[in-house]
Order: sequence, then C-alpha cells, then structure tokens
Amino acid sequence: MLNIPDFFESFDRRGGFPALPEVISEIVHEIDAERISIVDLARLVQKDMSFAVQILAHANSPAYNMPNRVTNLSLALQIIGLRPLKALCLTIPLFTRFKHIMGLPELWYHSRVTALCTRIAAEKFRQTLQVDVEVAETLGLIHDIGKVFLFLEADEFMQCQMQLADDPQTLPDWKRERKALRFDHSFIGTRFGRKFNLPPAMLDALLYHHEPEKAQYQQELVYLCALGDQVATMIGAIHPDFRFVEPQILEIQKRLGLLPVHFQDLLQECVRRSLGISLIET
Amino acid sequence: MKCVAVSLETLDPEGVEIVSDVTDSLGRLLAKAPCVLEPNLKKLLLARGVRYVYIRSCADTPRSFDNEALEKELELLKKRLILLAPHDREGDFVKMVVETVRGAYQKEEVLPEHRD
Ligand SMILES: [Fe+2]
Ligand SMILES: [Fe+2]
Repeated sequence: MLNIPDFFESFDRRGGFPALPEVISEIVHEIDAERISIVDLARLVQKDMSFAVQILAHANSPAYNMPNRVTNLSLALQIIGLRPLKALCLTIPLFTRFKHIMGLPELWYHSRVTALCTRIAAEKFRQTLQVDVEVAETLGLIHDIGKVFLFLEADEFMQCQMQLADDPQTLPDWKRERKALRFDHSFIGTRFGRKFNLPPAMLDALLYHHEPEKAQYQQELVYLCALGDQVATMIGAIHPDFRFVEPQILEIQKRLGLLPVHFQDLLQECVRRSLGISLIET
Repeated sequence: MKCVAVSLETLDPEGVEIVSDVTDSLGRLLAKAPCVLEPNLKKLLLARGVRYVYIRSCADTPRSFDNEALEKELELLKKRLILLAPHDREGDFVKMVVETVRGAYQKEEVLPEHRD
C-alpha cells in the first residue's frame, strides 16, 4: 500500500511536480511580482504560441460571454484577469502534456466546467456572499489538480479507481483515496498550490473542497467551489473516478442560503453556458 | 456547405482530420475542430455516444437536438443523482433538478442559433 512518505519520496526522487515550461514559469513569476503591464504580459505570452492560442480560446469561452470574438491577446488577458491566468499557467501545460493518459481529458473537462459553474455562482450570489468572481473561477479550475499527480504517480491505483467510478455502492473518490493511501488529492493539490505561492484562503479551499465545513479562512468561497464541483457533475462533467453527485450538495445549498428558485436559476445558466465548453481540447 | 458524416465506429482513427465541431445530441461541444482523430479520442467520443463525425468542413452546421437524446441524458442525470435518494425523502430536490435541466435544454433548442 502506498502511504504519504512512500508517495512523496518516490515523487520527489523523480523530480517532484513537473517544472513549468520556461515561458509559463516566467509569466507566473511576473504575475506574482505584480509589476508587469498587460501589454508586456501579452508579449511574454506570445513567446509560447500554443499557450497564447489556448489563452485566446479561453477568453472566447462561455465564462466571459463576450459579444464578439476576441482576437487580441492583450484584451484576452484583460478579460481573463491575472488570478485565473495564473491558474491557467498551472493547469494548461500539465493537462496538455499528459492528455494521452486515460482519465485526464475528462478531468480537464470537469475542471473547466467546475470553474465555469463556480464563476456563475459567484456572479449570481456576489451581493450576499461577497466572494471575488475571479478567485472563485480560479479555484474551480485547480480544485482537483492533485488528481493529476495521482494519475502520474499511482497509475494502477487510479485505473482501479476509474473501474469503480460507476458503482453507486462505492465510496466517493476522495474517501477511497484516503482509505487506500491515507491521503487524498486535496492534500497533494494543496502542496502544489503552496509551491506556487497561492494565497492561504486558496490553499485552504484546495484542502477542504470536499469538507468545506472545516475551512478556516473564507468558508463561503470553499462552499461555492464545492457547489461548482457538484453542479458540474450534475450536468455531466463528471470525475473520471466517481460519477455521482454527493448528498453533500443539499447541505451546501442550505449553508449558502440558496432557495430552490436560486438553485434553478444557477443550474439553468450552468447548462446553457457549459454547452460551449469542449470535452476534448486540441 | 454539405457535409459528409461518417460512422465513428468504423472509422480508422489514424490520421483522419475532423473538420467540424463534434457535439453530442444535446448540443454539448465534445471536440473542437479541427482535430486529428486519435485512438483515445475515438474511444472517448464513442463512450459519449457519438456515432458520426464530419470529415468535411461545415462550420455553420446547426447543432442537432432530439427528444430521445434529452430523455437519455435525463436518465443519466437521475443515475448521477442516485446517492441523494436517502436524504431527499420526498424526491423534491431530484425532481427539481431534472425538470430544470430538461427546461434548460428545451429552451436552448428554441434559440435561433441552435435551430435546425
Ligand atoms: Fe476533488
Ligand atoms: Fe471535482
């Protein structure tokens, strides 16, 4: 059985979290330093053509509801915002590089739809919850990033996990991970987030996205991410290793004070806008 | 432009370029064109119920929508919601979700850009 020391020993021996491509790493550094202009940032992004193309595609995604096609990179960066851009830097290269691994394209789709649903929820309930829309979207995008490393380091285990995905008698993915490994993808995701200097509220949310009641910092934000996660699953953007909506959704709805009419409105909008998100990205 | 739809099942995945967005019967985008059909992509699309893909450009093809597909998706949705049953005794929440999703897809159908 794998355990935390074994997992991370073997993981670190193999070089730890894969390094970001050089240009992407530079972009992350500049975002963290908070002193680069959008025009300079666009110049930097342009150095990695395939990333630039994906950024333009993202700016044209249903998340932003732009009336016209965005073709200018500076405008695209302005629309996306720096925080979500950083999350895209941390996710796009990973999911692109390992897209041949069974389960990862579905996880990437799930992550993008969760980002959209969390964003929509933050837009709709901004007044009452006082949650930053960009932070919410960012969190949705990276909430399951720890799973990528399970796919890379514990591939046999993940293959078994995927075999059980359709069985309603089985425990949810994260509980099975804990049972077998004594840690879960939230734990690995938080380590990844720490490496890239994500703020404490976001690390907290990464760690507790399946147990929002335990969050220390911004509980509303964590509940919102948990909501986005479950709504994404509801509308068909499932986890490759667990296909069911968890009963926790009822508690989340209560905790966020959502009346049925609010939930219906959210769900409708999530279905509508998720139609434009592609399962496979090329 | 008229498109040629070919059966995905029988299509040799190596090197075939899909030139039109692949959507499922509810209009959800599965693969953005242009993309090369690889064995993994073929498997994924088949698993999502895609039976045909276009191998000639037809960017303005309207999304197709049919009631049978909607009912199938709603059955899958109910399956995804199965763990809620013991906590949702009257079934109100599940009913509300299913009807909302049904309404959302039906509403999308009447939007001009999605019309056949
Ligand atoms: Fe998760
Ligand atoms: Fe998730």
